[in-house]
Amino acid sequence: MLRALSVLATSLWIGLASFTVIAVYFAAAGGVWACLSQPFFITDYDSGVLKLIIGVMVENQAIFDLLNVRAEGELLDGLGNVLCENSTGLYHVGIGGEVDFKLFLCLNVTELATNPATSYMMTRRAKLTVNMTLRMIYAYIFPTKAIITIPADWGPPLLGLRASLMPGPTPDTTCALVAFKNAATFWFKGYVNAYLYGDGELLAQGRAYTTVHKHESKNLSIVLPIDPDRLPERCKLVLAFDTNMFYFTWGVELG
Amino acid sequence: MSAREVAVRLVRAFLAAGLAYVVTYYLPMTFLLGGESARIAEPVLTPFSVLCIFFSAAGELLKGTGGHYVLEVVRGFAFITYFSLTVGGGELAFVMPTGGAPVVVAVDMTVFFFLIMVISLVEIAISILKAIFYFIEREREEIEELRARLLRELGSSR
Repeated sequence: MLRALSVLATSLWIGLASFTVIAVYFAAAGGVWACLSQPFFITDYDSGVLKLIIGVMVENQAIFDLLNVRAEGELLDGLGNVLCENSTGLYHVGIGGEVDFKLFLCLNVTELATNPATSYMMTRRAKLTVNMTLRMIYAYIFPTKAIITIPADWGPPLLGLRASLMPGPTPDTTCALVAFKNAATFWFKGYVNAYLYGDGELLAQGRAYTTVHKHESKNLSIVLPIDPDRLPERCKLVLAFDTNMFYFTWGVELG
Repeated sequence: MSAREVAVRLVRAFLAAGLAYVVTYYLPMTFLLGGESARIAEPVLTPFSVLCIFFSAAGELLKGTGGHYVLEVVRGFAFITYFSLTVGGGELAFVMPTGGAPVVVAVDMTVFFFLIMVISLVEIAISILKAIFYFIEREREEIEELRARLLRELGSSR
């Protein structure tokens, strides 16, 4: 009985050691490869969503299957705010096989613009970080994950947004001059609404329709029906960008 | 134990230690792992190899004695301790430099550790049973010896 148990224990040791040595050998010899593409943005103009896409390719030249291969990712800004997160489905990579799939991180620009913690990204450039985790079960008993941090640049759609007031085309009108540059990876179109407040009450409002292409510097003038001589000493101009890609409000004290 | 027997045991212990060194350290570091992976594996492999060398040599020195079984029990617990310390919270993590950003690779060793534990515990149980049988056998031999001596003394007194 004892002899049988000893033989069993020895066989188990030899089996486990051989299995581990073979598994480590193929892993160390580059039997399992994973490649990631550089992250890139594509735009879904219908839903106002920016999709950050990272391509993943996993190749298995080892002698064990790769089970439950999947990627998870989260997009963070430089302040540590989680902008979005997502994961892919599960894939199986057989011996000598390869699989490629894409991880989508969907960034809703309106949510970004309306969140006070992230609204700065509408007017300022930012450094983003993609934390990506690639998970798989290697050689049946070794669940493995590889964590990689990929930097990504963010260009805002309203870079350097500024506004001022000047006399309008007729004596009883005032012009709100709005200037910005679209540094984003998408174009947008829609209305820019201007609201002029003085002492807490709405003095005048106007709107202008515009289309802004990628990398375009834009200068808009919005006519407000108010005599410039009747403007109070201090007033506040609020701009509301109601576009196909985002809704964003921004205010500036003038005077 | 004669001086010759001691010398033979020492030689066998030396050979066992050498073999353990070749199998657990030299071969893996030279042929199995190379370059960066060898550098990553070295802190894990070195204590494992030291344990294997020590227990191989000590096993040969104590072979055929009760201490051998005690050593086997100690070896079982030593390997359990080594693996639990090595895999820490169940994860073995290391940084792999790549052409771009460094990649942190973490291997969940829970299943592997569980298998090691099971086999080690089976071995410990076997060693304890062997030690018990060994000491029972030794006691029986001593009793038999005493019985034979007693019978001899009784026969001569008659």
